[in-house]
Amino acid sequence: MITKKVLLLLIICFEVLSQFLWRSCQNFKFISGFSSYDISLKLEDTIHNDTNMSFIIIRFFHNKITLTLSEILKQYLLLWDFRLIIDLVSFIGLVGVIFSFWYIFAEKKKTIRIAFITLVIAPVIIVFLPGGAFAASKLLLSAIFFVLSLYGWIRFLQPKKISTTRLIVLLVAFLISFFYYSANLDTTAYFCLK
Amino acid sequence: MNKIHELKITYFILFLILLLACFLRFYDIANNPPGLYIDEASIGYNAYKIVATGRDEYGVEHPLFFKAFGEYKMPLYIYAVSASMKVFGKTEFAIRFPSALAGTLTIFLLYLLVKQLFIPVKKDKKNFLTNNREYIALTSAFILAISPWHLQFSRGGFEATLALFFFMLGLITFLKFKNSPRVHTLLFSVLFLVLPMYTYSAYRIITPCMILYVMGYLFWKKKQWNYILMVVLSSLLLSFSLITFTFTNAGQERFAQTSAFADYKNIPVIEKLLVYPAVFIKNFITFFSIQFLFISGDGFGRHQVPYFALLYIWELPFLIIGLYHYIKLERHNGLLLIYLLLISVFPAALTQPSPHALRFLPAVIPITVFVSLAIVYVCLKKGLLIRAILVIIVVCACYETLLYFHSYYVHYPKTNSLDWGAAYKDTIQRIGLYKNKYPYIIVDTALGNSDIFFKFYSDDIHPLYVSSTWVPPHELDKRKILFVRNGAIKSDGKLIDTIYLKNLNKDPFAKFWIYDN
Repeated sequence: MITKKVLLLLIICFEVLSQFLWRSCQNFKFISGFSSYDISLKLEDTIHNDTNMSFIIIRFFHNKITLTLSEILKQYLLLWDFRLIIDLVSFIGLVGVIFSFWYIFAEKKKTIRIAFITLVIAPVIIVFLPGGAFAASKLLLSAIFFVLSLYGWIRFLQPKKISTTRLIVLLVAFLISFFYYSANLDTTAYFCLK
Repeated sequence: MNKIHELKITYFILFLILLLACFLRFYDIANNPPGLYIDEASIGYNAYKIVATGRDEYGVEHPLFFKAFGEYKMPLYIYAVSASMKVFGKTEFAIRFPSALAGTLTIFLLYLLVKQLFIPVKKDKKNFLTNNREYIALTSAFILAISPWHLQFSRGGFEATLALFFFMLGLITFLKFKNSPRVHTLLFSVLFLVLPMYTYSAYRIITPCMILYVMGYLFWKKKQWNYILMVVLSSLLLSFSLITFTFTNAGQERFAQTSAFADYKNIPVIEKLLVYPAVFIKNFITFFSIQFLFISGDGFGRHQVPYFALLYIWELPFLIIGLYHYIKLERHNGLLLIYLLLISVFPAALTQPSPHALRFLPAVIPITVFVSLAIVYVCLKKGLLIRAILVIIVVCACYETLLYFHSYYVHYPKTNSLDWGAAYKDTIQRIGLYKNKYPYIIVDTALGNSDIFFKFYSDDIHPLYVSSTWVPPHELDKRKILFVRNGAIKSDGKLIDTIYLKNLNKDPFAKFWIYDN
């Protein structure tokens, strides 16, 4: 029991420490949020390649409705990129998030399932936040991934006796987290815009 | 009677899927992708030389490894193109035909692979996968047929597509051996697993990993040392020439060019122990990023269509569901597809740039199977809510798929002509019209690696390659010079012709200059 608490504490430390990667960042890279101006530009770009085509076909494939939905979806999915999750809550946190997706399939409690779905959908708010809301967006995302990761690791460490396989998985996750940050490589977040 | 009737329907559906795959891969293949990219031109030229003279471009007779640009290409695809050129002539179609054919047949092989993969080990150990393997097999074939990732590389002269075809044959024969062990099946499996090593460089790592899996299976499940010895000896024998070549400077050239660790060669050994794993792990993770798989791909214009990536977005929820169910149901059965997914990343993560859609191509197989089994799983689920969600996803899937086809077949030849060498062919053919009047053809090296394109498209134009600052020497009759470059010239030149790209802006690619005085 004490060992499990120590392990969870270590995991939390790793996840919190990864926030230091963002100390010099001004905004997210690659994540621009939703912009109707961008949609219009993209539409212009794609329509001009459809020369000598029926207007119905052009409008079927290139219209603001489908492009807007597609852009919102892509911006939302980008918030679930593995590299962003690692940047926010470390590799250990990413493993925890993956475990949370694994265990939710077998979760019997309805409240936890609803909470999980809410957390998964919540990042869509960030897509509609204005460009200057970097701090709020980062906080919201970090909190969501932190909670999911904690759920995943708690479920993973739930059995009374932790098997050798589970210990190996834990060790490998810690080792990879260590290697990920230890080398003399660029130590800013991949999604960091300075 | 019912079984025969079901079988007929299955084969009919499979036939329709293969017909669709064939059409998607062969339609206008000579013109889309627009022009040959540099490796295709090199493959085509070497294949043509083999057909015409039995030697490669450097005069080596029937080489086992083709020097090309110094990276030493693997031979099988080039010889396949030689065979194709004997039928179709020295054309873009001939260069791409083996890849398109292999891509189409891979779909049939995937159907067979899935059927072999989910055969119940014991009659009383049936599960969702074994009970529905026919549906999963057909769905896998269909998903691969319309896959943007597989389609993109089936339509270009990419060695990786042919290598994947052989690799699939190796997997199928191995699974056949698993289900009914026979010596000749095992030997064929080894043969087909080794052939990709002679087709595409990444398999120099993937195949040994797969052979290890085979040996692991023979050790844990069968404990038959004679089979293990047979696998080791036959794989060593078949790959002997490749192994010896790999230990030469020429054999290591390709890895030296693309190594992910090239920037860290000169750091102390102790630091390398930290840096090398860190680089590998960072590269490894990029191959599973949402941005790479679903949003924008690897950024290379030849590897995906603008605004699309390797997979459709609608495949994402099915990928997650499929992964979960596959691991849950197959975890005591070797998890071959997970192993295949991981070994597909391994060679790609050792190279740069990372991620790289072409080097990661073998992963299209396990990913397609995960998506397919999830589709079948969801379709067989009952419940109004699930059916409603499924209808919405099907509508979105149909729209996104049609949008992809529209983008690929209508937009792509225009938007990505610079990523391929479309303009080189036009340029060289136009030079052909002027060469009698202007016998001194001067080509600016800033036009890129145009040398190989001249070799492929023309037998009698041998230009002089110069830098942008070149000035005609006095001894040369200026009236007979044709200077081809993509900018202006400094001295008294007259522009007589321009080759434009087929993009929206009709940007100039090459300008033809003559000297008036």
